[in-house]
Amino acid sequence: MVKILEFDNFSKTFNGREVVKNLSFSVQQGRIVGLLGKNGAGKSTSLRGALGLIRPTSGHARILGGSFAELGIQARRVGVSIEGVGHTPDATVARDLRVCTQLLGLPASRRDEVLDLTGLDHARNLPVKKLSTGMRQRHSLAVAMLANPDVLILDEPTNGLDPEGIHWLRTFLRMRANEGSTVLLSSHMLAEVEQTVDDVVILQQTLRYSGSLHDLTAGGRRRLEECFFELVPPTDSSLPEAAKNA
Amino acid sequence: MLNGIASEMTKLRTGHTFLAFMIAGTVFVVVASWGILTSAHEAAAGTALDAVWATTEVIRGWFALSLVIAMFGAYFVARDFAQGTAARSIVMGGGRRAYVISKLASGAVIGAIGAGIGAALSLPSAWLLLLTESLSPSVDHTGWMVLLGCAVVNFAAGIWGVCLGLLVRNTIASLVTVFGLCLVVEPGVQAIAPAAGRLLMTNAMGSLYLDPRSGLLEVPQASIAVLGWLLVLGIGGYLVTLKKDLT
Repeated sequence: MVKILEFDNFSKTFNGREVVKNLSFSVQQGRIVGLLGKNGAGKSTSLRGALGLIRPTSGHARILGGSFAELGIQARRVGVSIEGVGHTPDATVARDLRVCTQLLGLPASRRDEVLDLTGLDHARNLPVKKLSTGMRQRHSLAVAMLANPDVLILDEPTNGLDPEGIHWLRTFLRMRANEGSTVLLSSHMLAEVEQTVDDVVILQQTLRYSGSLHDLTAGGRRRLEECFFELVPPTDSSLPEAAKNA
Repeated sequence: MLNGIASEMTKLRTGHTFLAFMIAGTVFVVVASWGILTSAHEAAAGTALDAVWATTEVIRGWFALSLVIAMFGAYFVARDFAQGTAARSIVMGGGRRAYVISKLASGAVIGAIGAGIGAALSLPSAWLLLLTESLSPSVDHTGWMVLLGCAVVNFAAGIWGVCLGLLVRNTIASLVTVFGLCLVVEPGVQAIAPAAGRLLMTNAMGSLYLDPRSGLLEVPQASIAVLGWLLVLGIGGYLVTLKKDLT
C-alpha cells in the first residue's frame, strides 16, 4: 500500500506547551481515516502540520512523499477544508470560488461543476458571510474539491450539516475512496465517524491508537465510543454530577 | 506563481474596498490642497497668488495619496491573515514564496493604479482649485518634475504598504503602523535627528516630489533610500511569511 500521508515523531510546542508529542502514524492510499480526539488533543495542529501551515518543533509530516512546502504544483492534488484556511466573507460564493480556480489555474467552468456537486448552485450569488453553517461547510468542500484532488484533508466536515448533508458527504467520501482517493478527516462525532471511516487515529497529545476501525471495535462487536474512552478516559470535570454518582 | 497573481488581481478588481480607498484618498488630497491655497491666499493679504506656484502646490498635494495607497496595500495583505485566506492561498497556490511574490506584484499594481490616478487628476484638480483664485493653471519644469515624483512615490507606496502588511499581519495594527510612520514617527525623527530622519522612507519620498522642507536628501540618494527600504522590508516580509506559523 502507498503511504499518502506520514507523521514521523511529529511534535509541536506553542508558548512552552507541548500540544502534540512524538506523533507517528501513516495514512494509506484509498482509505478514509478518522482523526479523533477531545478538544485540544492536537487534531487541528496535526492537520496544519501536514499542510506546512505550522512548522513542527521536531519530527516531520510528509504528504505525497515530501513536505507540503516542497509539493509546488502538486499541492493541487490535496484538497483542504480546515479551520483557519478561510474564505473572503464579503465575496459572493461564485466570486470566492473564481479566485480559487484562478489560484489553481483551472477554467472558470470548474467552479460551476463544484457548485453543482455540492448543491450550492442556488447560493452562488450570496455573500459567504451570509451562508448558514451547513452551507458554509458545503462551500469549504466545494473549494477543497475544485482541483478534483487525490487527497482530502477535512476538519470536522459534518459540523452544521443536516442529516441529508451528512448522508451525502458519507456517500461522497466513500465514492472518492473507491476511486482511489484518500481522506483524512477529524471529528468529534464518533457515531458518525464509525459509519464513515476505514481506519482510526486516536490522539490525546500523544498517539493512543492507529489502525483499522474493524480491529479496534473487534469487528463491530464494540462501539467506537466505548473504545475511545478506554484509550482517552473522560476527565472527572467533564462528567455531570449525576453521572459521577451513578 | 502567475496563477497566484491572477487570483490576487481578481480580488483587487472585484472587491469594492480599493475603490473606496481611492475615492477617500482623492477627496482627502483635494481638500488638503484647497486648504493650502486658502492659507496662502490669506497670507498674501489681498495680493494675487502666483499661478505657477499654486499649480505646483496642488500637483504636489497628490503625494498625500501615497498614505492611502500604503494603507490599502497593508490592509490588502493583513486582511488575508485575519480571514485565513493567506493560509488558503499558500495551500492552494504552491507555497509561501509564491504567496509573497503574488502579494508584492499586487502591491506594484496597487501602486501603479494609485500613481495613475494621482497623475491623471493632478492637472484637473489644479484647474478646479485655481478657479477659486480666479487663476489658470500653469506648469513649469519644476511642476512636471513634482508630478513625476508624486507618481513614483505613489507607486512605491503600494509595495511599501504590502511589505508592512506582510510584516505586521494584523489588520488594525498594519493600518496604525502605516499611519503612525507617515504622520508621527518619521516626521518626528526628522525633526529630532535630521541626519537620520532624512533616510527614512517617507522623508526620502519627500525628496522625490521636491518637498521644499530643508534637510532632505538629494533626489539620487533619496531614490536609493526608497529602493533600499523596499528591498529590506520585502526581504523581511518574505522571511516572516516563510518562518512564522499560520495558526
